Amino acid sequence: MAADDRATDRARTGPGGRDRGPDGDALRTVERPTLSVRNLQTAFFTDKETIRAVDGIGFDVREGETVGIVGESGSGKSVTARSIMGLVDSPGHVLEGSIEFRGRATLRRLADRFSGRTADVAGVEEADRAGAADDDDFVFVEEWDDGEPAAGYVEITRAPEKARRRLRGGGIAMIFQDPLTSLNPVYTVGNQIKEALRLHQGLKGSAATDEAVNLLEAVSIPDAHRRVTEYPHQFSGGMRQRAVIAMALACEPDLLICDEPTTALDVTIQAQILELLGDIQEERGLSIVFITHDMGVIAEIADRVNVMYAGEIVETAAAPELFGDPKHPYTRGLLESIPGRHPDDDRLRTIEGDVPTPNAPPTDCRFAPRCPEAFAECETVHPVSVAVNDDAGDHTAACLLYPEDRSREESVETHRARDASYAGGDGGGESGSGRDAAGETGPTEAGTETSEGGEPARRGGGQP
Amino acid sequence: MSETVQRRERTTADETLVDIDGLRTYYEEGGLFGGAPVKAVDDVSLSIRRGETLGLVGESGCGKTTLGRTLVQLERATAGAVRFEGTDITELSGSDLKAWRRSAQIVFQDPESSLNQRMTVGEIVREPLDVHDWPTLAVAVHAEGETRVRGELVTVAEPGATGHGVDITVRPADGGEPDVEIREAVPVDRSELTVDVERDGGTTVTVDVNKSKARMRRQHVRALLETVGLREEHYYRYPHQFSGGQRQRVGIARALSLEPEFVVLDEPVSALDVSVQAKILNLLENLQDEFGLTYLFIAHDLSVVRHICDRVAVMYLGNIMEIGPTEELFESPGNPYTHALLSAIPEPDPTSEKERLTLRGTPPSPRNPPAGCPFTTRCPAKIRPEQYRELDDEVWERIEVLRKVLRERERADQSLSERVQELLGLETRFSDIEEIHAEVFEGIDLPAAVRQPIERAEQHVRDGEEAAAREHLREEFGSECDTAMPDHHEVSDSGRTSLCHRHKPEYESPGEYFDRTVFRG
Ligand code: SF4
Ligand code: SF4
Repeated sequence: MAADDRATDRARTGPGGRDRGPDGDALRTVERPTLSVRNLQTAFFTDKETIRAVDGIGFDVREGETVGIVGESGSGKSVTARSIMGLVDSPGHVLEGSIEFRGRATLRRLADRFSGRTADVAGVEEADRAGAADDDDFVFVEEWDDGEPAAGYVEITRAPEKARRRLRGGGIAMIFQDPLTSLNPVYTVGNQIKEALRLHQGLKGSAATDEAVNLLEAVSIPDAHRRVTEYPHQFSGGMRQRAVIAMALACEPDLLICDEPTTALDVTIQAQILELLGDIQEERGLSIVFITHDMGVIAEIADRVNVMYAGEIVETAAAPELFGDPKHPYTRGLLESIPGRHPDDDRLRTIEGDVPTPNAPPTDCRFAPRCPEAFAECETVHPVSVAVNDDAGDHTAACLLYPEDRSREESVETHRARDASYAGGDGGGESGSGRDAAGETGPTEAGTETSEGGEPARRGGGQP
Repeated sequence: MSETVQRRERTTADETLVDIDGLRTYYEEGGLFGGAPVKAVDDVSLSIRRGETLGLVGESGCGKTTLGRTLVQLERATAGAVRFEGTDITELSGSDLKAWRRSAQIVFQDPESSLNQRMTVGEIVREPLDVHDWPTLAVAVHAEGETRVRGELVTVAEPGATGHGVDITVRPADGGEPDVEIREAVPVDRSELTVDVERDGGTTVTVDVNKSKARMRRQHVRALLETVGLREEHYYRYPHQFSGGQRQRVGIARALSLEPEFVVLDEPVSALDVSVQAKILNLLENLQDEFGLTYLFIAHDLSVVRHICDRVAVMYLGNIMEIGPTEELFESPGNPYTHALLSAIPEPDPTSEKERLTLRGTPPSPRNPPAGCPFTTRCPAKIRPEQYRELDDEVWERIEVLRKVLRERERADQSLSERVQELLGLETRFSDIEEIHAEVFEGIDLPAAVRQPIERAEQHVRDGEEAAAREHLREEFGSECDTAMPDHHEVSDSGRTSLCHRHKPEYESPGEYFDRTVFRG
């Protein structure tokens, strides 16, 4: 589905329209996102302090879509990736939130393997699912086909480690900045790809070798027949990253999470890898979450962009819109500070001050101390993500200046009221979907929000 | 070209501070098979003008960092000269070298590892001052006849010294207090000096300084911290208590402590976030204005370079491929490699419809650079031999891939077992030429004109004579690009030069070539 179509779908119901009714429901069953993150909170506990690295974010990734997460160090972008992968290590914990993954092969595999923790929610309204599922269920089947699960999702935050391991490198593959973290130096590249093929596709022997060669060719490694017999150290940096991508593809993932995959590479090699990722996505309909600090790279690869600041998503929009018409003062400042934006200026524009470390749940705008547009309420009201104006269903910002077509007082009130209802956590319907971008933006998310109202009490059970 | 550039060019015109002539820096890395040295910097000549910022860009391994380090004598040059204000500093040693080091400093990319974590920020910035016993408090006496200088802390300025070479200038006045001038950067007040003048045929000046050097250094460090945007109280903190941007400020303060004229900035903002990067870049520009510094700015981020540099040198495999004024070079690049590099920058604008010129492969090893032009193995504009100019681009491209594959196999890092197998005359990697052929020429109908030479090369491979195969392909499909090192051709009125055969009159220039092929329409 093209970005335009999505935008129109969302615009139809528009922001603030909470009662979507049957229209929203219909859309929901047609196209549910491959990955759906709601109110994710991941914190790190040390002797000295608690760092709320990811603090109540939400976003969706649809089939074949590349969603960018951009932010500076300390923004929480990498912790977001690790949370999705179930790779948050002590002293970090996912405190709260939901991560729904709808990869079909994964659903089937996990429903089969963990039948005792699979809930049959076919035909059950989302509101009533609490009754249909046990407390430790994490696989939810919504549709059956001949006794096989045909639709449903895996709730990653509730999945046991064993299931997560199957998920990683299965339905969800990850590419890190340093390819050597994914490659074992003592095995040939070919053997590592073959191992992945054996695990995920059951291929062995010469069939596996042939497929490994095919995959290396698919990631444009020349002389693949010979390269399969080589060790990672015989590959250049760019070639290694290609090999890691080939390994990821061997797992036939539905979702690829790329955490700064080109940051350590030279521009000419980076260009090759970005081109490759684009091609692969087109061929295989992969969904991609692409995390980077580089605005240029994000502009090149992402369909939609989430801007993170101090653990929160402060702005979300389709890429052309985000770059063409940034709304959040932080996004604006960030774009302004890129060299070349104002060639006539003698000095670069900067954002005053430094990125704060979020230690407590937000009661204000975390950007306020640095924001050139801050006003009194910015220090007392926590902005939630809202549509930037009445026509922009798809473009949200967490800033008290928005929606921009309301009066200042009205806007602030909107934020105050919504934040209060989230923070209240009185078991009310809304705490489950969080104070994030998704709540207000589109039929899909809103549908999730209202109809899953019964569930939040059990959310966050996946992690201590 | 913008106004600023022209103005800058004029004010800095022609006053050369650093003159690099035929510079080579090789590393001899013995290793298992002896082997050739790494030619990190291979015959580089360029000059850096006083007060300018010269950018040095290129991919990792191109030699840019080695060049920078050689200029501040952290690496020894293998051949060639680096003349700093006329003196070849590659010849200096001992105390001369130490004295010169004050004038040329370096700021490293990674403030994390370049700062000693066990020292306080104050100590880090102060260390070079202690090492060089700063300040020298060099006294110059302006008087007729013979002059002598006495005093515990002071030294005598070199005859004829100016600028940083003179800290205190004394002009004896007839019968009154002498006129004493203290250079601004020296942390001493007139009130802290007692100056006596004796006339005894010549002139003897006694200067007593009522302040310890330790205090002067502390004061100087505090002033420096403030200059780079840190605060007084940071003096006693440790680097790990600082953010990346602050640590880089410390690194800059340290580099500036000895009042250098020339600073090599080795990827100074590469490890920083965009918003922090902007602040450091502004700081560097302010410092340059304030202290009249000359920068060599090494970077891989071209948008940063475009912003901060007056001129840019593009480096590839130890060679300067192109050098000239920044705006001009970005607007109308001359060299094919510059074209490719610029085209690879991702633009922070999703609506940009920039045609991309994607380079294949990676740079060859600097241990074993190609014969001919350094860029020949990746160059998308490579000159074809006369008889193949009309050949279909796709076919030509595939032949280049075949050559590349065969070349890659020559890489030095063959596995040991392969070497053994080869020595035993066993077939190893030569057996699969059919597969390679199928892969490379998939979906291509090879025209008769090229079929025969390709078949011959493949036969060589089958016979285990891979070198002969490469040679045959080179003879058949190679051109000047494979055999002769190009000259540095002047490509504009500004004196910009580019290392490429295509600037010769008989060929289509790189720009014209790309316009016709890649950026068509
Ligand atoms: S809420 Fe206030 S402080 Fe925060 S970004 Fe908006 S205007 Fe600035
Ligand atoms: S000399 Fe030949 S290979 Fe080198 S840059 Fe010019 S066209 Fe390319």
